[in-house]
Amino acid sequence: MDIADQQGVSDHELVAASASGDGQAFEQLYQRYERRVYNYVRTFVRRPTLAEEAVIDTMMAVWNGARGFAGTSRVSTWILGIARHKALDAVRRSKHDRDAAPLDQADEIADTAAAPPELANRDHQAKLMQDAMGRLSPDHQEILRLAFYEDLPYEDIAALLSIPDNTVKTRVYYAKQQLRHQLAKQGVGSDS
Amino acid sequence: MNESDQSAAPPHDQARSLIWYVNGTLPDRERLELEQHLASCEACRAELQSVRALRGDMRAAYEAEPGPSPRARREVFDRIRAEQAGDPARLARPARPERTVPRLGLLGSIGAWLRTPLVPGWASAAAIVLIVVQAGVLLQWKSDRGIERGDVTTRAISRAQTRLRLVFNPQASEPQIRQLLQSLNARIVDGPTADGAYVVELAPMDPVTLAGKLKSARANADVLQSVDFATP
Repeated sequence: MDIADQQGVSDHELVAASASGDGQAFEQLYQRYERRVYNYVRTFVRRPTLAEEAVIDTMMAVWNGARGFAGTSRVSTWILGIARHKALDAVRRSKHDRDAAPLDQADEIADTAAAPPELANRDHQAKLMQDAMGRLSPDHQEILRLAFYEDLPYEDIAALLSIPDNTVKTRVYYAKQQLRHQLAKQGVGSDS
Repeated sequence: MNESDQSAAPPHDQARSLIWYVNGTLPDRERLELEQHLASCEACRAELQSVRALRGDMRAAYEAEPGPSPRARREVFDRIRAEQAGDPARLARPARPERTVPRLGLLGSIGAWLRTPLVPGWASAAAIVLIVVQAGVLLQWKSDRGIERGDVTTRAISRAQTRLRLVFNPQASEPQIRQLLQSLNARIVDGPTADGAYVVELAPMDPVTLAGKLKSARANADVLQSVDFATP
């Protein structure tokens, strides 16, 4: 997900332009990362308002730190690393987020009652998957997101989480097994 | 978490790398080794298909996740506009590899204040103060910056400096504020907070000197409304 968009503008180019004060470039970068950062942060921070604060802090750090980005790593790894730091800061600041209960996202999923059957079914499947993922431990939620959605190399994940490469591979494997177990409990095939 | 305490170990060690084979980030050497293994292992080929299907379903679920409220975007770009108002030169500065970008929220506020009609003609002096404050904020920013990137930093080492939380009298002039900061040998490192306070950092000094300076500062009601020790 750290590649050029349809217009051929890469994340690296947007960061470089942002570093020289190009507000439009930063808006594009913001657009690409806002939702990703928010949902990554929600792995650690339950309260939406706190998660939004972490997003704001993260994106301001990206804006102010763009000139310090060496460009040797993926932009996504850099931004998510900042987000992780900000999220953990937010958790430390808030006693309310110390528990690691599964996220209850039921109130945040769009109501599919009025959607066409095909879309409703697709949304239903997505909700089942979200529910299953939400029942995993935060460690497992985080590492699955980084590997299956952010497409980070295992070396980047290891650096981000400060754990050995081998632990990353093992943790992803078991997180995947846990997810299949949760899906099976919901009556969803373990191969889907 | 002990990763080895769990059941259902992978049939082959190579199965643990399948997701990175699928997302295209597996290093070439490992990719070639895995492809050789897959050619002769039916169980891992089945697992590969399963990982691909699971990834597709997971990505659909991730894509359906809600984003933050519009407040987040509004807040970020309001802050940036405020910063740029305090440092319009940033727009013209070329990108440089070193870490030289300060947090300018404080500068934005002071810059706006300096442009009010009530401010007399000491703008040049104010500009000097801005540069000093900017340097202070830069130093603070640089100390925070390494942690954001996961670097090892000296943050764990306790600082000798004292930090104070100051609320200036709204009627105080910029020269008065500058003089007070100089008398305290202090630099502004944060603020303004929601209640208008600034955090300043004092150069190291012995307790007796510090007490004397604080006593003088507290007596200067024309400039300071309150002064307290800042909590970390």
